[in-house]
Amino acid sequence: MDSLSITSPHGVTVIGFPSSAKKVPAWRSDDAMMFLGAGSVIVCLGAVFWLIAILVENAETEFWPAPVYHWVDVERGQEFTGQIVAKSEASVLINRGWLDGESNVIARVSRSEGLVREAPPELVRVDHILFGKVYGVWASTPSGTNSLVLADDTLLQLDEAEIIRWYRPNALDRSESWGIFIENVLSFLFRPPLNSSTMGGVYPAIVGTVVMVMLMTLFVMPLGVLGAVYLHEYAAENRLTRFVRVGVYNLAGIPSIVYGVFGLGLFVYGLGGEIDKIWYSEALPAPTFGEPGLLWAALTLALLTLPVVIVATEEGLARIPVSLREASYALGATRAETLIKLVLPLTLPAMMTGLILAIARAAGEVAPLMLVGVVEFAPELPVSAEFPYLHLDQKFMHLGYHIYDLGFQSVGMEATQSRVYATALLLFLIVLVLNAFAIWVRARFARRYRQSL
Amino acid sequence: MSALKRDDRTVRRLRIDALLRVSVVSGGVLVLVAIASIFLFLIWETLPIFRQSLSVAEPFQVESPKDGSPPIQITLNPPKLISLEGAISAYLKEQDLSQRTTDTTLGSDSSEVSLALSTRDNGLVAMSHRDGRLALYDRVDWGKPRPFSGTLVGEFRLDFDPEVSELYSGSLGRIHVVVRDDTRLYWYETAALASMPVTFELNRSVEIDTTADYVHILADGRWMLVLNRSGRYRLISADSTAPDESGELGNADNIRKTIALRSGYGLVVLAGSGQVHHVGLTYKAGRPGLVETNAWTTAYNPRELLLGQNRHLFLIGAANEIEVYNSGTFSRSLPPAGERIADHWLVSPNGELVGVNNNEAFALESTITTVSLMTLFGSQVHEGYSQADWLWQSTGVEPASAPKYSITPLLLGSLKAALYALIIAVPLAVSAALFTAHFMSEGLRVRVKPVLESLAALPTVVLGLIAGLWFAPWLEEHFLEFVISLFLLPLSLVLASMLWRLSPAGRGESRLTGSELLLAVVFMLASLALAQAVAPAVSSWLMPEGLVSYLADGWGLEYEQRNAFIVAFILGIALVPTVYTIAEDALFAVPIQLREGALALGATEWQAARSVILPAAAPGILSAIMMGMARGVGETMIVLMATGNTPLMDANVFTGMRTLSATLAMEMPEVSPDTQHFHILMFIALQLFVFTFAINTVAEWIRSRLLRRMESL
Repeated sequence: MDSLSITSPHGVTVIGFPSSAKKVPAWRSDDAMMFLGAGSVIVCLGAVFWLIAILVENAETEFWPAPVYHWVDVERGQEFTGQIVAKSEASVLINRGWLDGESNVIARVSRSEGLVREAPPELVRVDHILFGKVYGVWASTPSGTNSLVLADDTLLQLDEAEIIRWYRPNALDRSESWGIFIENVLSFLFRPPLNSSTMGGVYPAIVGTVVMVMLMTLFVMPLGVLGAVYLHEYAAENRLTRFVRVGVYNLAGIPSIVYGVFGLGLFVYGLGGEIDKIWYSEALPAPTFGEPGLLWAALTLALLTLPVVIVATEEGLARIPVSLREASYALGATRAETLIKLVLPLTLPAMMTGLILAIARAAGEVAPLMLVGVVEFAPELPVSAEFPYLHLDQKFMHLGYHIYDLGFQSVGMEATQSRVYATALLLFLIVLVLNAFAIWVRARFARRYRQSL
Repeated sequence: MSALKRDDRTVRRLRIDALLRVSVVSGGVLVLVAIASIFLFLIWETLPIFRQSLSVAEPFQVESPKDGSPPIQITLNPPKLISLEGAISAYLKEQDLSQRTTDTTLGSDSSEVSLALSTRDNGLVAMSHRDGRLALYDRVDWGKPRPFSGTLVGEFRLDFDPEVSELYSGSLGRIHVVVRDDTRLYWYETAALASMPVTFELNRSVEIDTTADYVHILADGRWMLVLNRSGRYRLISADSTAPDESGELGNADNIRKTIALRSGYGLVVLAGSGQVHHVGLTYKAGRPGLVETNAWTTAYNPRELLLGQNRHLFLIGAANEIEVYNSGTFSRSLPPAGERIADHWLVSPNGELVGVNNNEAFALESTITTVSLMTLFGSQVHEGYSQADWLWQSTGVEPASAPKYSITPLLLGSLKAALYALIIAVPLAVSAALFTAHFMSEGLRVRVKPVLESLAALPTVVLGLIAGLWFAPWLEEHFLEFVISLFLLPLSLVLASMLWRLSPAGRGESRLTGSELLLAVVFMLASLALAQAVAPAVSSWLMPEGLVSYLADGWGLEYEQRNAFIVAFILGIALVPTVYTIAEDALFAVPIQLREGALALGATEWQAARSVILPAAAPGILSAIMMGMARGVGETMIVLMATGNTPLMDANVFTGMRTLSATLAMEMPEVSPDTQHFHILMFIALQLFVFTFAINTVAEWIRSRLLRRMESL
């Protein structure tokens, strides 16, 4: 009988004597298990694409100019004019726009046998400061005033100054559609919400999120780096330090809402209340810092992201070879000089990674902010040209909370649904890009280390 | 010269070194202190709910009835005892029906009047005169220079000498007055108080067949309870056509005092030689009856039962033993209230308990919370309920009902959400981890792993949005399609593996290189399409009436649109990266020799994975699951948005739940600081902190021990 020998990559050679020269079986349950594992990976990755697909699909009407339809339900004798908001098998939800005496702009059109749909090119959509979206046909009045014949055949006089824009959605060619698409995207990004968030954009929420995160960065970076340097460079490597380190790492696993409760109790009511007593006593009992606000939100999130920065920075510190430090000491450098001139610059990429991960975590976090400073609508931005420019005591809007509030707390949910998804898409992309950036930074510097060390 | 210079420099360098050391160490310690302060702060803010104290304030002189007749009321400002008898007569400054303000003197002979105070509204007084006049006063102020003053809101003249037995303020400002003569009870009800003067309307008039020692109006004026000392009772309906109900309180004899609870659905009875019974009005088969829901026996013979502020019932013994009951749900003995023994105990209009001793009175300063660890976690009989139950209702449905703080339903809600999510997340994450660690080529692994890990940063508010607004309504219509896909997906993967093995690409391969993934994707998409095609037919065959009625009729299950099933999948996706990362690290750390040894002994790849790698990495996988559990319990936004947030206690997949974290998110912004509710929420936060911290620490300990052991192999 022939002997069979296998040599492993580690140099172990095994010699075996196959009992019979059986063929390898065509299919084993192994293969199924392997494919099931592969399937799990695909499901996990697919979930992300699925999420994006849902967000994009539902956010589409916020940006892309959808046609305005005119439905005639012959059986029931009903007529509707408007843009589709959502579809299901039995019916479509449409936005009818402003109509005199109608409180709900959303209507449900049942798909039935006798339903006739048409898209007349002369239908106009007008975005109006007071009325929001209005659908109709321009009346051919000789005087040239802007009067619109609405779906219920009433005549609506519109002041030209109050019209944001108007266009004929059914008569757009490709380039005009793209023009409106871009206009919509820009207005979404750079305009405040109008008409109870059915129009306009999410600009204040973007600004609020960015300002809060930047403020948080100011707190968390020095503290996080200091903490990491202390734990790794100065604290004696004993049982206590190990315990503390595990404690700090585990703080990353504490539910974020607990940080919110802590922030509300200690920062807002405790610290804020004291500040009010000392410096703003003339305004009491109306609280200045003793209520949720920008500063407290930033501090709370700084505490929340502290473990992220500490972990990342310590990882970077640990990666620096002892030989480098020893070389530095051998040249007569003190510990401080070694740290400042050698170790910290080399740790910079790790700190960057920690910073980006902290920002990504903070940008997506909503639960603690609900307790310490966000509001559904804040007309004033937390930064302004007015002294003191950065308003630390002010409440602010936040993308994540905007999603929760519009989608789950407000009354006219259907009218703002596309906007909720659009906001979610924006937040999702921001966090995704930040994370990808963090991975890229880490990979790039890891490679550079390997080359240089 | 140069040596000196160098010395200067050295000194400076060493100083900088020392300075940096000091600042880093102090900074680092500051960070650690900040972190530790979270824990300490939460404990500190939780403590007030367990703090109890009772002390006697400085005694003060009080103007008392000169003949020593028993006082009926005390005012603290000015300190004055009010009695109906003797030299001090009661005055009422009444705004009479023609809007004139006159003073009425209640004659010095108290036998001329009877007076009833409402337990639900201490500004309400009913007074009867011997001459048959029955008057109702509202907004009575006991502290005015005259004994008390109020607004006369209604007056009525009877043709007999009435005695007021019960005064009850119901909803919509309707007031019930029960008066009696020697043989009959007369139950009057007023129109809404807003229309002054109110008119009285006779509801029922019944003969007193047993002795009517205690009369109470219950259930917002639907029933009148007539109870005698030995425990026999009658329930008389406001509706004269309805029959009376009668019965007996089995365990209560020699009843000495009864107090109706504010909810109007129960009373507390002091009976015998110190038994306290909590009795509730319940309906059985549409017929009302009194049922004892709770009872205690005191070690001493209490002489007084009083209703104070915050629904506290004080039980006072002859030697100043004081016990407090919270609406009949739990009892607590307070520390002795000092040496001073009072002749009388009274409750001031503000609800303070005051002891009176001749001309001296002393208020009890008490800090009593209505909760204890037992009531926070255990079940309780609440006002208006016949059975003990676990209820979380932090703001009463109606003003009269007490807030109910039982954390258990929230705790179980958190566990339900986390466990269902883990059922989805663990198989997915662990099989994905095993696959990437041992079956995937290294080149692909370093790409796939960071991507899967970065899923941890997905904003949960986005996942919650998808769960609540998209997935929940979608699932209600496509439930079968989803379930069929769940079965078809694994099946399609098995088929894909067969095809791969048979194809030239798979011959003799033991690892996947990447192109096979495409095959798997194609098969999975095909199975999804198949499920979509098949589902409508299956659905119309299996559940023609629709999912909701199918579950209700066929299985007796309730279906809510936002339910645990939704949470399981969406929260499951959120938990995958946490579980995956740690499990993958553990699996990948299993030394290559172990696997190669197994393979060399003839094991197949899967056999090696199952019987060598998985057991070796088992502690790591356990710690991964624990960390996933901690994350699931603490997750807020997804459960907040994907469930109905009703505090239920069931394991039904198709109903929602309310978690600890969602409760914090919803109630914390509304609650004002330093209230009991606030401290209970702090306690919930502390529980979340301790639970997740403990689980994570144990998991981390298991993990690091495993990795150390692996390194030594």
